[in-house]
Amino acid sequence: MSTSTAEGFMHEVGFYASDAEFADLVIPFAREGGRTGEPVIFAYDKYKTSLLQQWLPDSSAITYITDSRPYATPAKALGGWRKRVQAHIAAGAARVRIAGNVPHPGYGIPYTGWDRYEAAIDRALGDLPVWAPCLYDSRIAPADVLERATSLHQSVRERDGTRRHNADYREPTRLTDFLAAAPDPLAQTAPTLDLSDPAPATLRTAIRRLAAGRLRADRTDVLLLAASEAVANAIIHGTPPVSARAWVTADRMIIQIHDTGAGPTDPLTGLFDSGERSAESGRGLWIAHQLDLDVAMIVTDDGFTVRLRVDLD
Amino acid sequence: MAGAVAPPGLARRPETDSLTCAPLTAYSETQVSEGSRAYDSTKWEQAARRTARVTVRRSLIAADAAGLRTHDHTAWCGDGPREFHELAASVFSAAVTRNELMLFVCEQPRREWLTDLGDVDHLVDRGALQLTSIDDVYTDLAAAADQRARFEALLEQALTNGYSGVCVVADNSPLVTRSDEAFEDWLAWEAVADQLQANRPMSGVCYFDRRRVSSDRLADLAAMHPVRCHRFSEPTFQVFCDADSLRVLGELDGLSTDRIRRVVGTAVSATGLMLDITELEFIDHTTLRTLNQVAEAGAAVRLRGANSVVRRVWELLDLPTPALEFC
Repeated sequence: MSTSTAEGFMHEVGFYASDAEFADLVIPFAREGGRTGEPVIFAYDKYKTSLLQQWLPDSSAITYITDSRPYATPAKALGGWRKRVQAHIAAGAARVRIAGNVPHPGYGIPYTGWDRYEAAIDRALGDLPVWAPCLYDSRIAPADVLERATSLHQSVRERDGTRRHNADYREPTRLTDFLAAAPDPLAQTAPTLDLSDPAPATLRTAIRRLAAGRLRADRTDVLLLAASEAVANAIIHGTPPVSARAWVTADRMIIQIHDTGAGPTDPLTGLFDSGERSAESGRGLWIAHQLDLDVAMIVTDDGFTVRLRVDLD
Repeated sequence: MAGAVAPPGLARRPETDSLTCAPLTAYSETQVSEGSRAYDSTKWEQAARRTARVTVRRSLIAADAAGLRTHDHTAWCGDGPREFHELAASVFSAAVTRNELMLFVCEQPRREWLTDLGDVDHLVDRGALQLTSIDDVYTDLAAAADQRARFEALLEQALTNGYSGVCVVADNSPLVTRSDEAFEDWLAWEAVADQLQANRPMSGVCYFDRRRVSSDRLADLAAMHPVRCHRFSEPTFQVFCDADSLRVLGELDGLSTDRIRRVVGTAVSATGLMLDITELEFIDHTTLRTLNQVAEAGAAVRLRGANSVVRRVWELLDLPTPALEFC
């Protein structure tokens, strides 16, 4: 993967099995930031935030983010970090140091999607002077998460402050290299709507009909945008036949756009905005990921599916 | 004639649950005089006619051509020339009562096709009805401004001669069956012609022969007219001039960006352009990007009626050179 890496960009993984080991990893990192004038942003849970505030009582260089918004979804997390870092750089920072809890089952959240987030950081933030150690609590993170997290970082941060090249790094090259989204049982049932090779306008009309009286106008617009981008993408880049199916219950709606191709060649499609130079379809999927609905991209033996889920009003 | 009531023969657009159709908007009556008063018209009346413009354009599906009015820019389709002749006679029968100068345009127009109109010879002899070959009317569609100037000159002459306006009925089929590029030039011209009809006492009925024009092109043509006959299928989007804006109805997505680029690019003037998307059902990021490119290239393009989702997509796009203004 060709990434233009900014001077000072560092993305590394680290592990700790106690509060003391956590301190070894973060305290020098934060103090050095204070000394060199590099702003530090921590996005941790309440407990770790209170530890950090005790350990680092006098640091004005640190910003704490205590709500869970930065990690709402992987795509939003990447976009959010990028904005924060850019704001600090615009304000004169030479480099920005960021660290936070990447969600995993230890925090009650599936790691699905967050493995792609880890893989995407190099490209999403690599052009900015960012130092981002991803520290995993090995007391609560399942073994498969620790193994996966290790394989997604080119460097490892040791507790003695050193940094080493990670021999276990494996660059993901396909969407199937990542954890698959869990299938939704509702989508195993007979669909409410089943369209073959629909034009985007046809699909939008059908979704409007389904959403009428069930979903607020602005939330319907969001769903229409995402579905439209997904079907346009399937028509332009996928392999026919393309199908669009929908399932509706009293409280939620699923839209699945499927083509029989292998899915995007770029395993990180949709996760970050590569700006004006990017292919338009990639931009559309990225926009879909930034909107308020659940987007999953699923590769199976019979093709590629974009799944959109919304809770009804 | 009451402004808010559709005249007989004009059908309200059917409501569907999938797409909120453009409401039938009445247009405020203009100061155009009706009847035969033109022969004793004063200078004041002439001045009033020159400045006559609609404040709200009406958009509808028409079943009967006799109900068409000044400022209506209409797409009509039928099978073969005979239907065109009947259409022209019907439209002109109303135009005669409004004392409009009538222009009958097709490949080789003949007065005997309009006998339903009554004493055609008399109308032609006194100059109220002009029969013109299509090649004489449309000399260079790529130069839309020049083409517009010729229509403006014709209108000025008509007003000076005491007519209340100009009514054109034309079989434009030969002009829309050529190359794709020529067709795009035609659509751009439709946008210019529409502006003229919105702002001046003019109306135009564009006839397209279904035997000659492909259904795809018929749909594209319907999109460029605020009024169309019921035989057209529902276009994905519709764009036309209103008092101070270009109004867009329907849906804009990746398939319509090239068309929108040309239409907006042609309609934009030195003072800029207001694009009203209040009634638009859908707009995607590729369209916003296209509109921004038009704005970057020239005068100010402003977008009115963008909802929160459209604004959110615009923010997400975060274009390096944002030129589109939201108001």
